[in-house]
Amino acid sequence: MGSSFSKLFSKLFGNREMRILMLGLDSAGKTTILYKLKLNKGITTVPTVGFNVETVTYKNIKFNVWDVGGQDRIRPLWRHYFSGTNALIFVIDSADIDRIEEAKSEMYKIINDKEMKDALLLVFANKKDLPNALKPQEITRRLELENLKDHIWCVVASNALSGQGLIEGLSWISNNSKDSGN
Amino acid sequence: MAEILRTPSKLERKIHRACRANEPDLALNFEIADLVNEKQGSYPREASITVVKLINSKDPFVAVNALSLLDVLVKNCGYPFHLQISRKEFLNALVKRFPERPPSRYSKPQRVILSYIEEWTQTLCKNSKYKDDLGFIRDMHRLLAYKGYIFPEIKDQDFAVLNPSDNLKSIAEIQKEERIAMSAKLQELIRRGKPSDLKEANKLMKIMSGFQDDDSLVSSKQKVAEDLQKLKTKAEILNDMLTNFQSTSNNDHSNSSLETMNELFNSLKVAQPKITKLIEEESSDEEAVSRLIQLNDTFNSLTTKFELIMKNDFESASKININTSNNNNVQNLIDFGDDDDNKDNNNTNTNTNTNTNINPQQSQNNDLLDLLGDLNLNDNNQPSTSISNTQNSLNDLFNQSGSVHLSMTPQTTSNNQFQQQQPRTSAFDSLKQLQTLDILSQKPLNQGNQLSFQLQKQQTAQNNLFDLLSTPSTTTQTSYSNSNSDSIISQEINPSVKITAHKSENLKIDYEVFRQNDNLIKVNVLFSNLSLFSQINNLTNLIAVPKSLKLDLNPQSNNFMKPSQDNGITQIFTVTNVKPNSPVKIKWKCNYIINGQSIEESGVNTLPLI
Repeated sequence: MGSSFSKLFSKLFGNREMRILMLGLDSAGKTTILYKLKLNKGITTVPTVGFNVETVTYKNIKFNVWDVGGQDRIRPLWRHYFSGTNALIFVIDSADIDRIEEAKSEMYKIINDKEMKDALLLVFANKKDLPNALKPQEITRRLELENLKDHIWCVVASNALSGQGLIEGLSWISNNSKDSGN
Repeated sequence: MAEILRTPSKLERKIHRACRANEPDLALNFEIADLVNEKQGSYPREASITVVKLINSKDPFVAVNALSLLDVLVKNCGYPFHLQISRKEFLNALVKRFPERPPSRYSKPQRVILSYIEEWTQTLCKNSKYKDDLGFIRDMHRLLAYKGYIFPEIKDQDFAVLNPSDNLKSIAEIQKEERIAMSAKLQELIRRGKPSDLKEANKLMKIMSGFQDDDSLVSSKQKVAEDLQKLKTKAEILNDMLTNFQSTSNNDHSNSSLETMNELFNSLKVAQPKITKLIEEESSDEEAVSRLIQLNDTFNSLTTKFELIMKNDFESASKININTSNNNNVQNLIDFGDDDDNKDNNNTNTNTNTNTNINPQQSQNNDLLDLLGDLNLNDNNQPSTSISNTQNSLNDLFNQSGSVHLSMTPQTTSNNQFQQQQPRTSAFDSLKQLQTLDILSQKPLNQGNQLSFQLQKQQTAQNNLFDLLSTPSTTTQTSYSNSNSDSIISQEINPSVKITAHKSENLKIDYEVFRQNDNLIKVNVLFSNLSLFSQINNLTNLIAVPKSLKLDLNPQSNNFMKPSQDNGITQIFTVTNVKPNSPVKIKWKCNYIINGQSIEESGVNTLPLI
């Protein structure tokens, strides 16, 4: 009961915690986004073998952001991270047009899992600064998000190096999370 | 709070339904176990949490039902569930209704919980492959014992379920189990989320995604090899029992031997489909496939034989001759079946009788060693570093010789026995002969001999004495006129044949075969060290012959050989009761230490007819 009380207490004062899972194909920019959020610095990353987890506090909300490697060999392990996730950030390299289909199929695999049924879906159309990057509307169309009924979703164009779009994404999550009305 | 508002999942609903029944609903319990196994992920955890809540229910019926469900889950859901019941939170919840001091009389749920914890401690915590992850169970056991709780005794059959089964599993199955276990562990580590857990989770991910080498494939293969070895031994025992069964009179069969036979038979039956699967998996490795097929054939003929005997059809059963040792890669020296001699005429024998597939290094059979354990014949675990060590072991050997009619020599990998006249010419002085003959005549070593051994050890291979020792009985020029060696060694004029009995990376074994008279054959075994740079230490050689023959084995001249030393060790044995013109088969096993590694080679040879 004690723990429920402190939860209630923290809710009253807006001190919430959210578990965010960040996935996407390899080299989409997940790790760069994570450390831009955490350190506000564009760092050089190497392909993630395994995962990174950092806590980012924004507007009194503690985001526990899990960034799991996106190489195809690691993808089967994604499901181990689903449990308890409040929001999925799916990162897409909007200039990697050839692999949009692949990204789409991976994304649906995730959100169709029973454990993710209550999670919000935020798509970062990353690398928007690249010349041939697709526009967020085009990404929405290609991912067929319009037909997605059982998830609250949103596509935000982002640039992990400059940080554009990242904060918008987080605030969309905090505004749309179930607890936000309480 | 969210917990209460949440709609219960399918799993929770099922568990509640199972526990609300009037008595434990086994079918539903198994259905729940299947569901957990199928879904994995968070299911084991969810199930454990729901069940333990019901175990603490105030309604004793619900508690007892929940406990029986817990038992089913523990016994059927494997490691993923074991990991959950070994969580601190779970264990604490499990004993939530235990008072600080043990009550004078335990309630039924308490009694059952105590028996579970005892059972898990005795089985999972001791024998599970992942017992390191299950430590809290033992801690809880210790804590309860410390507080004065008394654990009931556990039935053997309950042990059997939770201990790892020795059923044969294919490599793919073992790997699948491993993957499930790793998944469960990863999930649990991520859930706990402590920095140390996350570090371990990262490491585990690297292994699971193949970025880091993992020895699981190697260890899986090893496991399969071990299991196959066990099965072979079982097949062998069953065969022996069946043979005995036939030979003893009909009324003489005790129920227990029947039971054992049934048990062995069943374990072979269960293994057979797995062997078929293994053959598929290993299809690229022809040697493995042929070995597996042979094993399968053996099982098939054993099955037929078993069934015939169960129908009391002893006549047809006796026609089925199963040579398990041939498939076995293992030379059972003690039980030298004479039936080897008949097998060529035997059409029902399904085995291919090649001796060629025997790889001595692979043989793991320690039967012989076990039997000889008391005799302390093989102290080959300690490399003899000092001369006195060597001498001690030599003395051991000498003192025991004569009573131990066992000895051996590696086998030819093919049955080619190339024959060779012995080329030995050496001049010995009589004193040295005498020393040699002393050794040959099974006397305990006296001081003088020890001295000569010391000398020998210090001298180089070119040394005269050494030459002498290495070829004690091979020369035609020298007549061994010593009284101790009369009938055996004096007839050097008789024809002799030299064959190479065995050649491996390190060791060559030659036989010089002499026919002493119509029913006595003498063999001089010559060991050579083929390794260019390494000394062979603590060599012990054991030999067996068919039961109809009598073997006399003399001690080895020595038990070590310098690098590339020819004929560094010699040993003489005689075989009596030999029928003229019948080939003599011998089995041998040779242990030695080279480069600090203990090696065992073994084989079967047929002595040439002379």
